[in-house]
Amino acid sequence: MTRGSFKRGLLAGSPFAPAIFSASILFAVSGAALGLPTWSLLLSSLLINTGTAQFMSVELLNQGANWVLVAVACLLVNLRFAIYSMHLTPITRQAPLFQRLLFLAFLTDEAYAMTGTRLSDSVPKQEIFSWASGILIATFLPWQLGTLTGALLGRYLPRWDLSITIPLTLLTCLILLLNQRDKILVACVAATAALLARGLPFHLGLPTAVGLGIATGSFLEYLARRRKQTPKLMIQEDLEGGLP
Amino acid sequence: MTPISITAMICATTAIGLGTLSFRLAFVLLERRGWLNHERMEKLKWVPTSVLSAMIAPALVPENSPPVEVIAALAAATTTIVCVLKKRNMFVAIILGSLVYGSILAFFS
Repeated sequence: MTRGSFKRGLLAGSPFAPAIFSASILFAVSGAALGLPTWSLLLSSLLINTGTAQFMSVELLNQGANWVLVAVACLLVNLRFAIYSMHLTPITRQAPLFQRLLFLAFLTDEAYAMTGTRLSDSVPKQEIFSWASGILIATFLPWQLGTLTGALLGRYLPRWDLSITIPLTLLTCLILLLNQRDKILVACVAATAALLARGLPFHLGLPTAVGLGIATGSFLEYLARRRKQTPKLMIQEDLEGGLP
Repeated sequence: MTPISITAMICATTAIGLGTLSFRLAFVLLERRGWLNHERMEKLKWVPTSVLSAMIAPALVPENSPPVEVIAALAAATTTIVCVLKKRNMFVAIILGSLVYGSILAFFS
């Protein structure tokens, strides 16, 4: 782990910290309002460590859903972490096993999105891993601290609607990824599909939208490959036709 | 508001936490056993864009939300996008976006 890269990562992740902190406070305040003790909210933040699943679990339990169904629905949404783990392999593979497992166990959406932009960098992967670890700390700690603050001091805080901060935080990460026309198209398809499919049972809308996004990207890639191959074939045919 | 059963909350939290942890770590363990090969998974490059877009859209525009909220969310998103594209600090982008959202809601309510 290189200290300089780690510090740069901390700095790169710090803009997200206030938004994550405030959203975490919101989670703790809404949980406490539903009668959940402080320790159970802290346990939720430490064990689950994903805002989407935490908000969803509290909301579904509040609606009277069975805990097994709640767990299944949240796990479907969290399935993305398996893909994150696979996708970041070129960077995490270089690290010692314990560091790698620790990094993936506490990985946040923001840290993943930021790290994903540097997958093809020519910088040594060990340095990128240190940088990503800095971002991870800068995004993981505010979530835990926010839960603690919200659970302990929630009743004294003003009632502001901070639910918009998390989508805006993720939006800033997404914009960094949209550096090609194909990626913009994939983002549009996935977003539209997510809006149209949100009525599906067990929150299957998210996996469906992600699947459609990947399918669109793969199709665009296939078209680009065909476009590249076609002129080559035409030149070959012309050459063969021109031979005596 | 009805209080949530603490037992149900603990059971759900433990199941989600352990399940998510296994998702996070499964690939490393499978790869170390040689059962998976990252190089074959080229399609994964579309994953971050798809996942983030699919998560952001419904969070920005919740189901059955009134038109004012939709307009406020779209204005906040536009502000954030413009700020990031203009190479402003991400923190400034998020704060400005949130302010726009709050101001529109406050103005119309």
